[in-house]
Amino acid sequence: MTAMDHGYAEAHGVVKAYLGDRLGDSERDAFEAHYFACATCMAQLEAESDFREGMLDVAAQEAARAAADHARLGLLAGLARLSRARRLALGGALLLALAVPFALLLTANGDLRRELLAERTARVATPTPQTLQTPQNAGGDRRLGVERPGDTRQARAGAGGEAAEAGGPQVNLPLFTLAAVRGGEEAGREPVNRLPLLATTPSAVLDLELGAVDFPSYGAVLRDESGRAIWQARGLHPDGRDSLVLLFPTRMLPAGVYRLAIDGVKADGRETAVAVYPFRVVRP
Amino acid sequence: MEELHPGSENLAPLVGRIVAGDPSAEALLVQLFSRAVTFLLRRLTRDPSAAEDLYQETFRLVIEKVRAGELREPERLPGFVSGTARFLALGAARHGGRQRRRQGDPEAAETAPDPAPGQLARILAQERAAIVRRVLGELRNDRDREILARYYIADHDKEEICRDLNLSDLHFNRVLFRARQRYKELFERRQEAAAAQAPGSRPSPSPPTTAAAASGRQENE
Repeated sequence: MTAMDHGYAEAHGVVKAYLGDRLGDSERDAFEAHYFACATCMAQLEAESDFREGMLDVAAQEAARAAADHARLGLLAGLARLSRARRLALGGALLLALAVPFALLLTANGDLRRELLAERTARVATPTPQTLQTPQNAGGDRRLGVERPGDTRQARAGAGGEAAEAGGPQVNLPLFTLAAVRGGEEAGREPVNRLPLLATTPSAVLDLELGAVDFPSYGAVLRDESGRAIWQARGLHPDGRDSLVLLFPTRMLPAGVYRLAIDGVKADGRETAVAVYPFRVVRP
Repeated sequence: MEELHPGSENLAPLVGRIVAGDPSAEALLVQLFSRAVTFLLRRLTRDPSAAEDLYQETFRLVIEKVRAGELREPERLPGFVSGTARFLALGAARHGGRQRRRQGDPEAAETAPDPAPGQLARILAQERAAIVRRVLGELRNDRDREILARYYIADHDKEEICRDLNLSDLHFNRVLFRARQRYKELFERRQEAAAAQAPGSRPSPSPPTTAAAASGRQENE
């Protein structure tokens, strides 16, 4: 390795050649030995190298940006070169790609709605005591079973209507055809009608055969053992079988003796006792 | 403090003191060649962390050989140091190449250096590019930008550029000098800002030195 002096390095542009890897091995080693001992060449090397690296970094960034722009332009140019039919086909494919997930989403939404409805129906078909003991339900019972009485089928339909109002049918409701006591019963005597009501039974249907329908309308009063009226109604009309069919929530009928009195209401409003239906509710 | 450089020292006494086992002489040797060794190793490895490892190894080996009397001509100490650094860098590169060729070997994979530039190197490159962009933006005309692009990126010769653009050597040197000078100013300003934000942090590699201005002035002369 021959020694290199500073004058030679400057005169021959050795710094730039060194940074460009254009020196032979011998000249390179000589220059390295030189700049390890030359403050001027060392400083020039650092300045040139750093600025050169920065310029190359900028060039690389510009090249990358240009390549990205070229790729975007290439895509647009490729689309532009397609025939009209192919552009339409491509557009259709894109729409299909968007429509299929949307349709699947709608289908899934419909399934969820049906599941929700089924869940709600199942809950109503098994009513809880709280829902049956609400005053609104009792009023509903009065409307269905007493104020617009019909035959037993109507009562069943009424029960079904209540259930439908609540969201579903009620099955195997207890139906009792009560026997009337026309002349009044002796005090303390056991009622002729016995109504066993399970605690799980939400409602009971009472079928009252009137025997004679001589009044434009009828009134009814239900009293408990102490004589307190627990329910009453007016403007009732018998059905085609001359019967009044009433649906009672069992919560209104705790175990005990009851007396259901039916009065005929004349056109002038006067009332006449028609029949009395004593019964005992038992809770097995 | 005046910057130390091997050219200002009489190397024979220094080598003699090292052979005699003087630790301060060894420290002075490291101080004298630190900047050049760092520059060369970074240039050869393209990896600041690898260069740092080799930096330690270079001085360990140099001092060991000088102590052992293997450097018979003290005036050749700069070449001896640069040659040792190059030898170690090339050896490390060969070792890394063998390991990369044995990529199926898990042990080799654990010890092989990552060929991709590190995060620090990428950040430095981005900062460097940003400064260069600013320098280019401050140039007075497109011709000066073309001069820099052809010289540093296209790697054209000075004579070729001057001939094509009908420039004098003086104008060419002035453009390069001003660009590098402005780059140096911006670089040092960024260094100061970074140092103010993170006291005690290490300076970025290859900061232009004050001697760069002197170099540029020489070109203009």
